[in-house]
Amino acid sequence: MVFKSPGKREEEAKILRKADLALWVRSLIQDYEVIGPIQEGPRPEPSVLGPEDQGLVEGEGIAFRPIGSMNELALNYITTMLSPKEFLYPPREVLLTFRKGEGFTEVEPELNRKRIIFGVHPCDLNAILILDRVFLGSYEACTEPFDGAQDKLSRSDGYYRARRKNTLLVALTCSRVGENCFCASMGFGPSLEEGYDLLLTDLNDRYLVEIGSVLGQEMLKKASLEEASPQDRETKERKLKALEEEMPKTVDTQDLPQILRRNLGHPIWAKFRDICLACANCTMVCPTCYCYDMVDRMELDLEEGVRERSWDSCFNPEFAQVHGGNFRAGRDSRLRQFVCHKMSYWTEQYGCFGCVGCGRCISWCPVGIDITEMIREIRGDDVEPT
Amino acid sequence: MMWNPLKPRDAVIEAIKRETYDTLIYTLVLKDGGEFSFKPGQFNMVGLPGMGEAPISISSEPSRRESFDHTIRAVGNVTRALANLEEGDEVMIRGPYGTGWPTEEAKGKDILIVAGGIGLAPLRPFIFHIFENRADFGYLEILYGARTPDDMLYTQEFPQWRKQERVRLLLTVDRVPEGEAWEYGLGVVTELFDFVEISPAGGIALTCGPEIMMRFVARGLLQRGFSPGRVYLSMERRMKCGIAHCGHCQIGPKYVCQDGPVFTYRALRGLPDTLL
Repeated sequence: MVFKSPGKREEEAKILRKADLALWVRSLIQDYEVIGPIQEGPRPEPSVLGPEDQGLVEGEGIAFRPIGSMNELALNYITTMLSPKEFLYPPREVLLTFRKGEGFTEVEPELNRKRIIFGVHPCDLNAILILDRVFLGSYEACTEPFDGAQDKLSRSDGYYRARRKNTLLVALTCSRVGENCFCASMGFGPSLEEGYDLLLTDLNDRYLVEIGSVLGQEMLKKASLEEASPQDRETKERKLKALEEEMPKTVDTQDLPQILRRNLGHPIWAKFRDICLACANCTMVCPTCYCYDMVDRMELDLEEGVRERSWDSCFNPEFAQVHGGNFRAGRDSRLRQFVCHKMSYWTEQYGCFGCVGCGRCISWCPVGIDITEMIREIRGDDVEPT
Repeated sequence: MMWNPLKPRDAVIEAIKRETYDTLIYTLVLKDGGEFSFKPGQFNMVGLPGMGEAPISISSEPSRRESFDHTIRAVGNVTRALANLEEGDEVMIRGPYGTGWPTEEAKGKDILIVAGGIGLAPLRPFIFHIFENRADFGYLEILYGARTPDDMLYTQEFPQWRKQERVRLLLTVDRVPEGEAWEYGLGVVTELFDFVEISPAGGIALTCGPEIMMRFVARGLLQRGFSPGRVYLSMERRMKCGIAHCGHCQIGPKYVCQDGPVFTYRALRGLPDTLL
């Protein structure tokens, strides 16, 4: 899967010495709002992990947050519990306010400064490009002049669009793979071709900095850089190859959308009906899940209120409820909707898989359901129609 | 102001007509005075601040632009709140959304309409589209079923419908309350199939009603020789946005709000989580 780059792609690569990173990040914090991975919870026991291993416990206490200084950045992280999706599409957001007799007033996202999401792994960056397709049609839709007259844009979400337009992405090649990673199978990592403004790769004492857009170029104007050598690029390639070989989980995506479509009656769905708790964890940590609910909240005086949007999940029992009944009353049908949407229907809707292989749904499933194992089982039993 | 498809427009209730004991017809005009145009089979998100929104099909004649109708049965939070409104009150609308009935594909063909209960509401604009462009379409047969005669919509218009050229309207109800007169059919709407004159060769079928009814309608029509690509169904699903973002209305890879609500039976056959 290759997405178009936000800006003009530059074929340039630079070297930023690690010793110069702090100064550059400090300059970024002055000019932009910078969101990055930080150690938020308790650090792992030093007796267990060396100081350079901070953030290497999966999802433990690492979160994307606005940063005030370089010292807070935990760039050696494996994965976070939540992707940076929430900075483009907040879990809860007031869309409109209303007053009796006055109708609705828009609440526009507050965007005081250009925002950088710093240190985004390839899977999560690709997830943002997928959300662009869902909410905007494509990333380009948010850079074009826009008045709502163009039909192809008329459904683009105004709130997502405003934030996305204001956001720059500094991607970061992973240092190690997590225990549930399978981005290589999905074609969404560990290498990243496009979609970033800058792409950093840790080469021990230095970062290889690849420039993906003119906006990325601009971000570097206060950095002290050297030219990258062919050896630097080779080191990166070796690193990517090693990551790919270490990838602990795999999914065979060959014909997968069609295979799932012809296995909607497979016994695996019934088997998991009594295992899956329908707790919705998988959909809450998924970086591409986009479903939402909208509810009106009234003040107690019944004079004013807000229309609020919040992340919803196809695992919630009322998700497909209508007046006459519930089209996905059983947990088996809800799990099937999740798996088949990501791995099958999505390709028809958006031309790509809806799973980037980040492994979060596996990591955070309280009963140990593993989407890669489910797919393996279905594939194993699949009989190609003659 | 940013571009925002989730921001509704104000509409004023020009008239409310009680159609049945639980169903009202609301005639709305846009508050800004603008015209409202739509395609037969499309819907609006209709709502009230504080109550939320619900997808409701548009039931007026598509040639009318200065106002539009919604035929609404009070069964949920939003629709019950709407039932308490009076003429002159305001509602909020977004739309029109969805694809609508196949007005182009239907040209030159005989048209069989099978409706159940409130399912006649989204078909009414198409029926009027045929009346207003009578030469473009062949024979029109309307089969309409409801639980009781009191549940039937638009009965006051039926004499007018029957006066149009090349039209037949067949009615049936599940049961007749004691003491009420009823001179038409008794039984589910598919019982009327034996009286249908339209042949599958030159015909096209459109249906809307409870999903379980549409199951038997679609399967019955297939048995009678209709091809799955010539049977059109209007689907109902939970919706929050109407613009293919909130995810609620998905049937397999289809968004009912964007790819539908009207689909061919061919497009839906084999998809999960339906009664079809």
